[in-house]
Amino acid sequence: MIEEPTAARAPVTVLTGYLGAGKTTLLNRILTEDHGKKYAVIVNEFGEEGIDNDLVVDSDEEVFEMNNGCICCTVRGDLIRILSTLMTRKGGFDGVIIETTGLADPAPVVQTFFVDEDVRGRVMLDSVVTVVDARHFLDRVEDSHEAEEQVAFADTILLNKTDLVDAETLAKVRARVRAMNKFADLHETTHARIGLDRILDRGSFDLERLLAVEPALLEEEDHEHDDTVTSVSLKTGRPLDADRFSGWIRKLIIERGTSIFRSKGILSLAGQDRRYVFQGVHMVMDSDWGRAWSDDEARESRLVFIGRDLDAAELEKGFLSCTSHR
Amino acid sequence: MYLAQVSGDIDHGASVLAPEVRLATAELGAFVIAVSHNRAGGHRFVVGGDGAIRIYPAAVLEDGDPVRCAAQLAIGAHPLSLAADGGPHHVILGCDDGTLRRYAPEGREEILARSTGGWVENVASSPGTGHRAYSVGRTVHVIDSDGAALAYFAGLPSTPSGIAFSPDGAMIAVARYNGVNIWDLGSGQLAHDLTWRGSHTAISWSPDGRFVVTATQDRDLHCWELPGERDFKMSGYPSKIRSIGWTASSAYICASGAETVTSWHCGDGGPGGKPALELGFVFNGTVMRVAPHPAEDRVAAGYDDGTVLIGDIAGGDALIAKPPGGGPVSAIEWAPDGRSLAAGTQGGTLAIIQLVA
Repeated sequence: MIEEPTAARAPVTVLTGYLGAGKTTLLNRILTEDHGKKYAVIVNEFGEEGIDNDLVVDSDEEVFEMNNGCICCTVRGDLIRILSTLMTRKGGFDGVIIETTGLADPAPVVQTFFVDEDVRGRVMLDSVVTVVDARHFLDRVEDSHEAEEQVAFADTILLNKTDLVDAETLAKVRARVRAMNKFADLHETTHARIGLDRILDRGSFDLERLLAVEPALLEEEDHEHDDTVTSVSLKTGRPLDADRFSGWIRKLIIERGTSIFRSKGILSLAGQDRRYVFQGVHMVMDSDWGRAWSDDEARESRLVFIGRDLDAAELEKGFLSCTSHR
Repeated sequence: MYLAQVSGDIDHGASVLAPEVRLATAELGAFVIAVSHNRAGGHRFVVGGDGAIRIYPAAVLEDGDPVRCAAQLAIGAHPLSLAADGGPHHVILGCDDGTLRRYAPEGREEILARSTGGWVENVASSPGTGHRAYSVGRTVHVIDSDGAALAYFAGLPSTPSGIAFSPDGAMIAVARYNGVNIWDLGSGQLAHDLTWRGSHTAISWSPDGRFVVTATQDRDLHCWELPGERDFKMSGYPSKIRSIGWTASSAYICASGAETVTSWHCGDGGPGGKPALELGFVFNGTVMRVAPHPAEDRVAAGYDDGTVLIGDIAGGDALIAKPPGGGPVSAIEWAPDGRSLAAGTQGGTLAIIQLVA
């Protein structure tokens, strides 16, 4: 997933959202818009009609635990079978859209792209798009872990049905969503109306996006909200020691992997001319050497976490303890 | 044609001609999804990502062209699973439109069964009884040689990932999440409920009936000795295990998923406590598909660079039968007489390898 995108691998968009948020409206919009592209769409139940040019595949969400029942390492068995089959077709597809059920935790879908070689060899996770119901989100998020996780995993968030709430409620919802996930692109919509270029082919798993998010100062945000799901971004201009970082991150995901939903990083390791990049979902982690640092960019290490009950100060302390003493 | 007799590591750059193997290739222009021979061995059937089935005569002809297609048909659906039919001449094919089809050597097609709203992802047949089994969604159907329904088993905990008949055809084993169901087709009852946590992705029943082996998403093999008293886990694979198969002697279960072809000796007390025998190391390569020989303790394997290798399991000697190229090997099968081998790649190369010695 970390490798450079290649033409041979079709981009995959994962569409999540709690029941009634407007996910199906968005899907129908994608399918009926005249975009001239051919999509394969994996849904849980067939909509009303088939769409010309697109292939709609009906699927049961089959979440399989791996590693002898580790709840942190799950894959969607149905997606492995279906995606492996789709990519055998001559001509292929311009993209794949996966619609999850309203109650689905997005982690197994995303982990499938880390874990299965056939899937990652043939398709590329482009982004997770989450539709949020402006009217009901503040209630949902109190009683549903899934609603929280869907926001936490999002690369793009559609704050939908904004016409059904007053300005004060909308401001509260917006602040709540932002506190949980400050890295996602946030769009406010009615009837899930949005330009498809804002949600498809985004390259959100391209880690370059990390560089665009400026980490806020920890003091400012530390006690601003009482959300259990938050995001933390860290940065240092001092090169990291590879062994020290590796030891810290491993220990962290073993101890805190259940509550860390996503982690991403671009690192400057001492004595290395290439960027070291990684992504993780819970305890599943993938890392590799990226491109070389260019002369005109600052060699900074950046790291982001989205998770439940994150201790920003402790994460920062751990991260900064990985800097090289050389 | 590049062929090498090798012992130990294989160096593609140094491949040389070996006289006992003849190679012919054709470019099909579509992902080779599956290759299967009919049981009589006269014909091989190839299904591709272009939705076509191609049929080739399998006889070794002195001056014939083994990749000259005798018949080619558009299926009209996407092919998913292909196997020899129970009888001598046909193959059966499961498709994404819910059909189970049958093809004759001259290309005649019959629809054996049609279901709505599901893919036919697994097919199998028994040469002894002529019965066929196939799955649609989470249901497994068994039909007789005339196509009449014999049994169906619904409500599996997941979509099955493989079906295997027992050697006598009296039972079927179905791989599913957290293990294997074995049903007795006479009584319709669950005969064995074999449990091992996780997702099982392929299944094979030993020709002597003693073992059922699955490949798992966790990159292990799991082996049950029937009637289910003992089981074994074989692990250490660096890659996904896409393909497993038994030698005719039931002495070895062979698997893909490593840089070498791995074969576990299951004779005597079973595979417990024995290391895998390894064959045909390719530097930075991965075995994608294996096909044990139909009579001898030999195995053919296809690699992710398109190489096809034929080796002697116990001796550790191997021949390169097809050089790299055409993308990863996606299908491989011996003709029933063991004198020729067909392999296809993701990039659409079909290779026919004939043993002329």
